Amino acid sequence: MRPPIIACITLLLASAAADGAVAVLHPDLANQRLDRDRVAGMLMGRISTWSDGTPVVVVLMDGQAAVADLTGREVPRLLRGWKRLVFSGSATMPTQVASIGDVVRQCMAARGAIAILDQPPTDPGTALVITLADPAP
Amino acid sequence: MPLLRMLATCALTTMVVAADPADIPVDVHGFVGFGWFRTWENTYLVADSQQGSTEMWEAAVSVTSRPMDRLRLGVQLFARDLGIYDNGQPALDYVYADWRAEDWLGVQGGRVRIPVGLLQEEIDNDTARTQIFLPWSVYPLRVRDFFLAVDGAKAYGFIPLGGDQSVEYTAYGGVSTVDENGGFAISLARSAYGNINELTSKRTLGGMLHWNGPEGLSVRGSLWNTTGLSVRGKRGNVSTSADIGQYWWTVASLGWEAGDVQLAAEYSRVHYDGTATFTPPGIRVPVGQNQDGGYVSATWAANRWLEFYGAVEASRLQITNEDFGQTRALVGAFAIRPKPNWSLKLEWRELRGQAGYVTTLDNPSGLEQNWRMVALKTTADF
Repeated sequence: MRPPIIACITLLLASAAADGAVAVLHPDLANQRLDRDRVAGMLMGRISTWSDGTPVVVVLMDGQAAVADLTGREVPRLLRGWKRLVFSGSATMPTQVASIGDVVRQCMAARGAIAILDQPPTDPGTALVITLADPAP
Repeated sequence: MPLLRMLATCALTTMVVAADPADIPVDVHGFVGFGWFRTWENTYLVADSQQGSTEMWEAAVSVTSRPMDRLRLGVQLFARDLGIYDNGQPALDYVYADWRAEDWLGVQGGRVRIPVGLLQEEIDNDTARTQIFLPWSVYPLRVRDFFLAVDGAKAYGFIPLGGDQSVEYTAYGGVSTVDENGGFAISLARSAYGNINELTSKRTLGGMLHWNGPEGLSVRGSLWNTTGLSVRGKRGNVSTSADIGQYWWTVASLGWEAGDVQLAAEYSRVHYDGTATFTPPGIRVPVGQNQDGGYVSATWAANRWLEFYGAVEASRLQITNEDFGQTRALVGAFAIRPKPNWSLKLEWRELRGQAGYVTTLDNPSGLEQNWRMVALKTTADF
């Protein structure tokens, strides 16, 4: 199994509560530009494609404080916003999963997948794991 | 069928028929809601509303797919029954092909849903909100079909401004097509025009601009305009018609969201004018309407399964320069969510005034100034 890729690239997610938070991404997304606004935009359904046109597939697991830090909404309320988008023809529903293992499996399998977790998964497989740290002072 | 709607339908049909399901993922979602409502003092929506009515349900199923990068296809069928309106007749809610070129530019063609105000896009799907009904003072309850979508196209986008601020926009154009047996036609039939046998409009244009500001603040402006609305009907032996040159709906919206609390305030203005003809005897009269409405609301999520909603609404109606007075409403609601996809709701409305809602058609013995309504509803989605 390929070792996890820990990449503190241009992800600037300033959030004290998200100290250990990570983004888990499909392996093909290594060169994508990410910043706080963009990740929040994806989680809220406002951004639906990566810069190369790959469709964004949002993978949501309940109970992740980092998601609320980024969007201001816990996962159940975030999903209600998604229902509003889907039933008005503005989006495709995120994938909901119940375990860290399912997060990793979805992010390895689905092109364009992104998930936000409070802590890095112990076995990320081939998925990219990017630390969501405060920007350097 | 307009060209864009036809193209979107063809694209979707091709996708469904020709695609190997293993290659192209297809998402299917839907919702179904059942309700009961009762009014006191005035009859509203259905003849037996003062005894309580179960003529309140809605259901939808939507299919979306992303067969290639940047392209999304979708279709939704919707049906509802709301008293004497719509009566469960299935309708094509939307069918579209959507191309997202950049974050700041997406284009959608077909029969596309349009945003007006903060809430028009969730008018059918009450799982997205705490209360059962959208504020009556701003969002049309009975004639949703006329303001919901256009056969045409829209452009939309999202522009981050930095510092948690962003701008969203939508601009659309096309034709508002409505069913001659739908809520809008029934509403016209009950006003003066009898059985509607032709209901067309020339063009609908509009858009919205939304600013997501700091600290959960948001501001939105919406504009909807339809030209050339033509109504033809028959009331007994009298041929009726109306020609509306310009039909405007504008909404100014303010929202604020902080944790478990959401506040919203919106102001709406509807205006149209034209002429109506009744033959025989060949009378030609001016018709027009000015309706202003607004509300202030607060929503509080006490926990994951319990939410409360309160609002104050007010509206004022003027028809062909005659003042029909004001209606004010105090609204309270709560929602229990035993599961994320299942809600149970209660809504109570205390109203003062009748303008724009109840008529002597349903209340031949006269209208009461003070009246109320209670509604219960359960909705599940998948």
